[in-house]
Amino acid sequence: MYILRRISEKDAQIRFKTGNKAFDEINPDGTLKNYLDQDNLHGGNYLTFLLLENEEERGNSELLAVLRFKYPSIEEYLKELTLCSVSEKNLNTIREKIEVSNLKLVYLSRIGVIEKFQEMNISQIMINFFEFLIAKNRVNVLIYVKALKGIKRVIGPSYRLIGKNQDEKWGDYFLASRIIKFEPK
Amino acid sequence: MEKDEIKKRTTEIDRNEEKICSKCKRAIQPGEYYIEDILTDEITCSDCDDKRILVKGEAFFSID
Repeated sequence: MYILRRISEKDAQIRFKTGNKAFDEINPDGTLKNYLDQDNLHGGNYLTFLLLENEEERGNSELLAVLRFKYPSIEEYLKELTLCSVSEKNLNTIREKIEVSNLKLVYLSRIGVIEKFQEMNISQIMINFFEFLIAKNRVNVLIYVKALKGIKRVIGPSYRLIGKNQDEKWGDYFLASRIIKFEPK
Repeated sequence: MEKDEIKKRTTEIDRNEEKICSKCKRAIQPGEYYIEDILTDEITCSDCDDKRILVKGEAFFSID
């Protein structure tokens, strides 16, 4: 049985490793403990979801993938745009779109798949689930992501690249966004 | 005009204006989701959006 659910206290010791050094740096001990510590269950800002395979006969679960996101303030997003050298004109256009359409902001922090199950399109399941989660109440949303330069290919064409920056620790990265809206009934 | 009033009127115009997909030229139906470009007013309907790959590869990396 496969389950997509929110992280909980009992998951702290579950092993999670993607094999990507930069991505795995958040959990150097190879468990979900740090994900749990940064989740809003523990006073953090993030919401973390897990894709698990449950083996009922053996009574254990295997973690396949992790999804993490948060709801930032408009100031936080505008600051990211400024850091990524988005022009004043584009900044005004984006600010106006957020205000006029009352867009809910969502920062997609990470989607990671364990080494064993990579190249099997599990990321697609996770991002489809993510978009369902954030828009399930037919709310207009603006999603943004920050993707490292070397892995730009993971962003599909429906995420518009709008700026780039260099982080001291991580190096070059791109900022990309996507707006999902609902036509009123 | 007050900012709230501008917002209210813009929302009314937005609701009454027929939205057309820039790719297949189909009108967006009531209740349907669509994608709006962040820098332009270009719209993509849910059918055309479904044909696009959201992510390629197996890990979506972020810097935090």
